[in-house]
Parts: sequence; structure tokens; C-alpha cells
Amino acid sequence: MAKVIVVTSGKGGVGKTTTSASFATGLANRGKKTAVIDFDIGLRNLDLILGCERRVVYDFVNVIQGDAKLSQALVRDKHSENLSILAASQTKDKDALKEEGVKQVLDDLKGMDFEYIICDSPAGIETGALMALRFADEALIVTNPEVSAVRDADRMLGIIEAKSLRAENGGERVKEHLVITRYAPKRADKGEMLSHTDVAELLSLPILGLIPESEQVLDCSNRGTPVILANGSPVALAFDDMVARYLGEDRPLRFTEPESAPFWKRLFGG
Amino acid sequence: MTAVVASARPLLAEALAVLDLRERTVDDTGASEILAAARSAGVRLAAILVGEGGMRANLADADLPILESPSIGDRPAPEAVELEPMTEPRQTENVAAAGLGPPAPLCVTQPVRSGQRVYAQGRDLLVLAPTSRGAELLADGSIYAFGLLRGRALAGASGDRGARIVATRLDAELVAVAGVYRTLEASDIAGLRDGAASVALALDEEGGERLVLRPVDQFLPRAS
Repeated sequence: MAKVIVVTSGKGGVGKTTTSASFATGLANRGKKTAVIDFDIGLRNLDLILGCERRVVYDFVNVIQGDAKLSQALVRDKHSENLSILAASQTKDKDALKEEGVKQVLDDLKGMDFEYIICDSPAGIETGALMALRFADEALIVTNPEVSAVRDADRMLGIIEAKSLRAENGGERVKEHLVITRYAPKRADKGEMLSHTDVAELLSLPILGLIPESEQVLDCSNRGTPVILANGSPVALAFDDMVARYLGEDRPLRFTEPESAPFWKRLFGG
Repeated sequence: MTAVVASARPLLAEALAVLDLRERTVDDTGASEILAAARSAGVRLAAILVGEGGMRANLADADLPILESPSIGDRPAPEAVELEPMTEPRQTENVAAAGLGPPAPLCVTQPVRSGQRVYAQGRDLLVLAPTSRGAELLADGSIYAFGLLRGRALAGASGDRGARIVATRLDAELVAVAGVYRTLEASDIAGLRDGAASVALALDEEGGERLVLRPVDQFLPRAS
């Protein structure tokens, strides 16, 4: 049975789309048939980060409004054949997202044997964000180690517990996972940033992913490659850990301590 | 108008109030009448609230601060937060219905998130999970919180002065008992070992009521 996973945060700019792209790519590269949907109508980004912006002909809203078939709108990812992308509309209004339409698209994707459907939520707590979480079975809550992002994440968790279909039906709860991005162990050590344990305690959630701060994220976004594919980089390793943990592997958290400088730098005070 | 206000005299005497005239239009001439009626009833007016571009001119001689604010109709309706999945009162209601004792507390076992509000109507509230900043715990009885309490806690919500707030780790923004409230600063919390505290109403020297925060750690077993 397909799992619908919303990637959400409340606050903008914390790394939802980066996380959606890398998480979806990671699942696909492990052989899982995965679809990723951009719910940020009017501000579409996911296609850029996955490098498929030139191949988007029809979008999510076209499918909801019946202008195109789902199979026409799905874009096959160039990095992984198991991954398909449904882009957001850049021209339509977010009110074009109707609940029945969203449900129909998700049901159709389930019918096409997708195992994981990732919903990349827009920031805020309005229609787009509410539609992205409405049908979720699980949620990735993305936050930065910073008080306002953590408070918004907390608010979002409350909204999931009130407004998701699962909550309304009173059945099984939406399973929530915590993803901390832009983590700088050095600054956390100095007390300039919340530590990952602080964030986990504030939100009372276990950490699924701890992604270090890195310039590589921006480089990869500009090139249209999900950062999980940047071989050997700490961010790629951290995202790979996250996907492995999600699929049940036991991987200890990495990048929690500041890197110690190479010994020649320590010698010469580099 | 005067008669209506006068009939409410016992309620209004000495009350400190802000007069809200946002629903009145510029053409209204009744402002001075309302002001006079309010004053004759003993209301102590602190300020007047008017809508944008409202009836400022008529109020010039009122000698009160005039605050401008959008009219009520322009504001977005407050968002209702539903809480069904996080409470489990079913079992306790059966006990109460059978007349076997006072109503059992409303028990919350999931974290109370920022923006959520839990209300234990006519009974105590027992929280077995953390409460976040921006969350609100409300009870007509007392509040017992096991787990970090960082939001607001308001006990005795319908006036019970004997209600208390007891928390194993109190780091609340605001606590209140029977309408008497107190915001908590870091310095208030610092005196509590591990934050275990009890909050209750007490009389001060002048006979006024105020909220007293007491550490309760002396009763807890100590790690050696």
C-alpha cells in the first residue's frame, strides 16, 4: 500500500524542497517507486532542484482541472528511473487546489503502483500547506536549529494533529519524523545555535535526519541535482543516513560534533 | 442609553475599561452621550478605540487616549483548533456517570503543541506529556503537568480560588489561578531546582491576592 508523506515546516526557507528532492531521490535509488508532488502553487521550485524544469509541460493544477491526464503531467526524473515528478503550476492561484482533486490525484498515483508519494508543502498554514498534509500517512517536519523555526514546526505538528484526514477520522495518528537541516555543530557547541538534542526535546520527536550546513546545497540546487547525489559530501551522507533510517536501518547520528582541524593546520595555526 | 448603563451599575462601578467605538460610523453623534453614561455609572475609562478614519473629531474633548484599530469585521476569524485525537476522556466519564466520586481529571497523553488549547471543563487537567511555548492549558479545577510545561497554564478558569498548578518542570510563559495571572521570567524559574513547582493564590500583607510560586523539590526523592 502506497504511503503518502508530507514534507512540511510552517516556516519558509528551512529546506523543505531540498529535503523532498533528496529524500525522494534516495528512496528511488533504493528501488522504491516514488512520486514527488510540488504543492507550492504559484512558486514552483521542486522542478528546478531536480533539474527537470524544461520538461514540464502539464502541471498538478492541469491534472486537477482535467486539462491533462496524470500520466501526461508526470515527469520522469533524469537521475533515477524510479522517480516521477508532478510540478506545481507557476501561473495558477493556490485556490485551484481542491480537496477532491488532490484526493483523486493521490488515488490515481496509488493505482499506478507508486510505493511512496512525497508531498512537498509550501510554507505557511494556508490552503497549499493544508492540502499537502490533508491525506498524509506520515510527516517529515523540517526545521533549523533556531527558535522561530522550531516554534513554527511545533505549530505545524499541532495542525497535522487537528486537520489531517487521519486526525479527523480519529484513527491511526500521522507518524511524525524530525529533520533538522543547516546544522552547524561548531555553533551549537558554542551555544550560538540550538543543539540537535534541544530541538528534539522541544518538539518531543525522534530525529530522522540531521543535515549539516553546507555550501554544497546551494551549488547542487543551481545545477539541478539533488544534493543526496553529491558523492561523499557530508550533506549527501546525512541524507543517505536519513533515507536508510526511514527504511528501518539502524544508523547512528553523524555530524553532531565539530570537525577537528587537520593536524598541520593545528600546528601552523591555519 | 443612560438607563441601560445605569442598570449595569453594580457590574461597572470602578471597572477599568476601554470604550470600543469601532462599530460606530463617522456620522454618529452619540459618542458624547455614551461617554457621559459610562462616567456616571462609575466606569473608569482608560482609552477609546476607534476604527480607521473613525469618529475622532467628536472625541476631541473626551480627554482620553484615542487608539485607532481596524474594525472587528476586517479581522480574520480566529482559527478553531480541534483537539479530539489527543484526549481520552471516555473511560473517566463512565466512572463519573456511575456516581462513584468526583469527575476524574481530563488526561492528555500527547504533546500539546504551539497554538493548541486543551480545556478540562468542570474538572482537573492531568498532562502526561510536554506542553510547548504558545500552547494553552485551561482547567476549571487544578492543572497537574508531568513533563516540561512551557506554554500558558490557567487553573480555576471559572473562578475556583483553591485551584493550583503543579508541574514537575515549570517553564511557563504565564500562569493564572481564578483570573489572577502572572508572567514568569527566567529569574522566577531560576529559583526552582529542576523546575518542580506549585502555583497557588495567597494573600499578601495588604489583603490582596497574588500568585505564589513555590518549589516542591524538597518533597521529591533526591538522586544521590
